[in-house]
Amino acid sequence: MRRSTVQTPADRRVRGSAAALVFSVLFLLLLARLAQMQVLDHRRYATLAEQNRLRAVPLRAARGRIYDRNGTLLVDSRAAFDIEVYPQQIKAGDSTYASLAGLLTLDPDVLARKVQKQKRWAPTESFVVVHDADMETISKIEEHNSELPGVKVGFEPIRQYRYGEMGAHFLGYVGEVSEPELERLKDQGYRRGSFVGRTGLEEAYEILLRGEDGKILKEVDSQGREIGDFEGLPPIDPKNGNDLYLGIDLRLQQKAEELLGPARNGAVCALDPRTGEILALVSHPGFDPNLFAAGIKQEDWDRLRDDPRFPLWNRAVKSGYPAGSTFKSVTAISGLENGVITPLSLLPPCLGAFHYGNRYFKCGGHHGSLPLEQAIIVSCDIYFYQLGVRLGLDRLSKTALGLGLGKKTGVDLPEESGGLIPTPDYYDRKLGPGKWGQGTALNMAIGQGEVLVTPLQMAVFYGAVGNDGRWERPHLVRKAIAPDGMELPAQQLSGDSARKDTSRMLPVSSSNIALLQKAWWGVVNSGYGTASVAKVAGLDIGGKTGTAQNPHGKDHSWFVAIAPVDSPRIAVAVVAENAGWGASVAAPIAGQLIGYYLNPQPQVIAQAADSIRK
Amino acid sequence: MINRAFSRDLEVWILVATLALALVGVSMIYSATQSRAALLGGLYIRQMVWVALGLIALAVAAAVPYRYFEAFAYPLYAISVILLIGVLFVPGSSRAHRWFRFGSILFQPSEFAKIATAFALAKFLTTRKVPFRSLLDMAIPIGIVALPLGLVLIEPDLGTSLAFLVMLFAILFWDGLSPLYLFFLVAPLLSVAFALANSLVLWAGLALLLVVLFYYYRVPVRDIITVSSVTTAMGLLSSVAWGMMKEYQKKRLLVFLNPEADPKGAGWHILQSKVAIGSGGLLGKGFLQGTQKRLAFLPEQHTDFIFSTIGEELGFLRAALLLVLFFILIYRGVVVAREARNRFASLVAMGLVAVIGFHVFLNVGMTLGILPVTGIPLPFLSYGGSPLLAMMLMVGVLVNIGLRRYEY
Repeated sequence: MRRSTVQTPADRRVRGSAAALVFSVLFLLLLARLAQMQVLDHRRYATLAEQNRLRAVPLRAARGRIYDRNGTLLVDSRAAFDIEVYPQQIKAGDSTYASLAGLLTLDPDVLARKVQKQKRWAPTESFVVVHDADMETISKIEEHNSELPGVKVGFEPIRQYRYGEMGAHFLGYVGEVSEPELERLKDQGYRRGSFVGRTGLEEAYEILLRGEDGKILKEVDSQGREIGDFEGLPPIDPKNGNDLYLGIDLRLQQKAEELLGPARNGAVCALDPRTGEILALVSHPGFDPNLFAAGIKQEDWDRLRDDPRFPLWNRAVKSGYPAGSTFKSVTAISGLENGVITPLSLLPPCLGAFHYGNRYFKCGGHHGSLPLEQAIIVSCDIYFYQLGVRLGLDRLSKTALGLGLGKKTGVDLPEESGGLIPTPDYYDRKLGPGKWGQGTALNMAIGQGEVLVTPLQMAVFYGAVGNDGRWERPHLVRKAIAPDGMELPAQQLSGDSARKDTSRMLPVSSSNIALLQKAWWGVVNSGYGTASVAKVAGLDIGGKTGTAQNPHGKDHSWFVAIAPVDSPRIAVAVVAENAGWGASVAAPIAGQLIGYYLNPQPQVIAQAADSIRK
Repeated sequence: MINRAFSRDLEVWILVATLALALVGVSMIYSATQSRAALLGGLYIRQMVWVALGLIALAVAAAVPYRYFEAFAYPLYAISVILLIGVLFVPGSSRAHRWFRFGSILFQPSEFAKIATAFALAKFLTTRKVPFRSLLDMAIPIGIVALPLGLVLIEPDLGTSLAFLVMLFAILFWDGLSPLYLFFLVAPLLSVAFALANSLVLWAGLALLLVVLFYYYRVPVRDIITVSSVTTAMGLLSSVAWGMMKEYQKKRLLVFLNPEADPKGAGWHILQSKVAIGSGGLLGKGFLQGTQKRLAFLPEQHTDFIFSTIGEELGFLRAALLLVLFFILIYRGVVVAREARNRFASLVAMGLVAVIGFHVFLNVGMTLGILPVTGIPLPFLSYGGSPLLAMMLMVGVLVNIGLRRYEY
C-alpha cells in the first residue's frame, strides 16, 4: 500500500504546499464571488434592495371546511374584499393616517399604533385594517388612491356559517388575533389581521383547520403600485386547511333545535353510544357566528355579552345542572354493585314521606313496597332516600365517579364542565369535618343538593349502560381530510393530547346492566311509568325522567333516553330550564327526537339526498 | 518561559486574527439584533461574555503541554461520544437534538466532539505499532470519525457532520496517505452521489477510472476487493433505497437531514442574503445602517447568516478584509502543522485547521449563494456560545502546538 509510515520532510513539504494551495484556491473563490456580487452586480442588488421595489403579497389559504356526517357543508369560506395597509409605504407624520382613518371610520391613533408595530415586526408585509369591506368603502379608497400610498384593496376569505345559529355553540367562531396573541404566535405563521378560532371546533381544531398562506413577490413602483410579478422566484402556493367531517346529523340537529324551541333555555345532546359520535348538540338560546366572521361590531358584542339568557354559553357541555331523578340510575347501580340491594329485595315501604334526622322528605306518591325496577319506573323518592342512607355518601359518590360523572368526558371542545359529585372529602373541606351528615347522601340519591351534571355527561352515561357497559369517549369530529384528499390518521385529531381512555368498561355487572335497561324500558312503555308521554310505537325507547329543583326558579325538566334499549343506536339527554316536571317538557322532546331519528319520514330522506354534497 | 523561543514560536497573527474576528463578531451581532431589539437585544452582551470566557479557554489550551491532550485523547473521545448519544434523548425539542439546556445556556457537544475526535484520530494513527498493510486497516481510523459523524448526522446536523468528514480526509492526507488511496476513500461517497443523481454515465465513469487506477498502480488484490465491493455496495444500496422512497419521503428525509434548508425550496433565504450583500457595494451602507437587515428579511441574521449583515453594512473592502483575516489564521495554522515535529501534534493541527477552514468556506459560500444552505456557524462571527468556545479552544491548541513545534 502506497503509504509511508514515516513522513519524509520532502513529502511533508509537498503536502504542506498542496494544503496551502487548496486553501488559497477556496479563499480566492470566495473573494471572487464576493467581488462579483458587491462590485460587478452591485447596481442590480441595490435596486432590489430599495424598499419599495419588492413586495411579498400573501396568497391566502382557505380555512378547512366542516361537514356533517352525510357530507352536507356546514361551514366554509366566501371571498371578500379587504383593505390592507403596507407600513413601509407610510411615512411617520403623514396625513395618510388621518385621511385613511376618516374614510374608514377608524380611530387614527389605533391605526397609527398598529402601523408602527407592524413596521417593527414585518415591515414589508401588509396587514388588514378592514375585513369584508363593502362596495362603498372600496370605491372611496379607489377614488382617493393617489393620496393613499400603501393602501390597497385585496381579497381574503371570510368564514361563512351556512346554517346561521344552528350548531353555533359547537362550531364556534373565529376572531382576529390580538396583540398579545401575536407575540406568541407570530413564529407559527400568524400575522396581524389573521383569524384564529375562538370557541368550539374552530378553536379546538385550529391547527388542523388553519392551512398555510403562500407568498408571491411582486415588483412595485415608487408609488407602491404593483407593476408585475417578480420573475426571479416562483410563488409559494398556499396550503389549504384540512376539512373536518363531523358525526353531527344536520337533519337531527335541526329537528332538535326545532323541538326545544327558541323560547326555552336548555340543551339537547344526542349521540351514538356505540361510537361516541355526537349526532346533535343544541344549546338555547344561541347566536349567529356569522356576526363574528369579519370582526364583530361592538354593539352586537355588547348585546350578546349582556343578554341575561347567556346565549354564548354552551349549556350542553358547560352547564352543570342538578340531575334530579335521572341520578337515581346511579344510586341504583351503587346499591346493586355494593350488595345493599338485590333485584328483588324490598326496602321499607313508601308512605308518602320519609323521616330522617329532624326533617321530613316527601315523595311524589304513595308507592308502598317496591323492588328496584318498579321504584325506577315510578321514580319513588322514598325508596331512593332509604337506599341513599344505607349506602352512605362515600360509596354513592365513588360509584358516581366510577361511572364517569364528576369529571370531564374529554369531548373535543375547548371547554367542558366536569360537573360536581360531592364526596365526603368535599364536604370536609367545605363545611368542616363532622359538620355535615348523611342528609347529603339522601339528597345525592335523588340527584338534588350539590350534585351537578351536564347533559353531555348524562347522555354518555346512559348510552354506556345501554351499550352493555362500554363507555366511549364522546366526540364531534369523525375524521379529517387533507387538501390532497388523504384522510389524516386518528392520532392527529383532537388536539387535546392523546387521551388514553377513549373506550373503557363501566364497573357494572352485565346482569345489573340488563336490569337497568329493563327498568328504563318500563319508564316509557309499561303504562305506569313517569315517561309514557315519550313512548313511540314500534320503538323500544328506555329512559328516566328528572325534575331538578332549582333554588332560583321553577324546576328544570330532565329526560335521558336510549333506543333501542338493549343495543341503542342513540342516546339523548334533554334539559329544559324552568319547565317543570321531566315528563312535561323534556320527555316529549326526547321521544319525538328519537322517533324522528329511528323512523325518518320518507320526504325527509329525499331532502337529505338533495343536501348531500361532496 | 517567556524567552526568545517563545516569542519566535508564538503565532501572533493567529491570535490577532482571532481577537479581531471575535470583536467584529460582537459588533455585528449588535447590529444584526437591533431590528428585533425587543426579542434579541441582549445577545451581543452574552457574546462578549463568551468571548471573554473563550479567551481564557484559549490561554489554558495553549498553556497545557499537548502531551496531556495526547494522554487523555481516548477518554475525551469517549466522553464526547457519550454526550453525543445523550443529547439525542433531550426531551422537549421536536426540531433538532443538538443541545443540552442548562437554564438559558445551550451546550452543544458536537462542537467539542470535533476536537476530541481530532485528538483520538491523531493518537491512533501515531501509536499504532503494526504498519498498515491494506485498506481494511483503515477501518478503525474511519470508524473513529464515523461514529461521532453518524451521531451528529441524526441529531440532525448535516453541516457539522460534514466537518467531521473533512477532518478525516485532512488528517489522513496529512498522515501520508497517498492520493490514490485518498481517492479510494472518496470513491464510495462519489458512488452514492452519482447513484442518487441517477446518472449511470457518471457512475460508469467512476468504475472505469477505478479499474484503470487498479491496473496502473498495481493495487494489491485485497485492496481491489475492498474498494470495489464497498463502492459498488454503497452505490447499489443508495440507489435501491432512494428508488423505493416515495416523493414525500424523500422530501422529508432532505428536510430532516438539513432543516436549515429553505423548506419551501424556493430559495427565498438565499435571495435575501444575496440582495443584502450585493447591495452593500464597495464600502457598505455603514454600521447599523443596513436596510435589509433592518427589514428583518433574513432569519438567522445574527447566527448562520451574519455574513449577510457584514457584507451589507461593511461593504466589499472590509468584508474581504475579514476573509483575509480568516485566511491568515488558516495559513499560519498550516505552517504550524508543517513545522511541528511531533506527529501527533502535526496531525491535530492540520485537522483543526481543516475544520475551521471548512466552516468558513461553507458558511460564507452559503450566504453568497454558491453553496447549499446548511446550519453551520461562521467561526467567531456568528452568535453562539458553544461554537465560539470550541473554536477558541481549537485556536488555543494551534498556538500550543506552535509554541512547541520543535519538540518531538
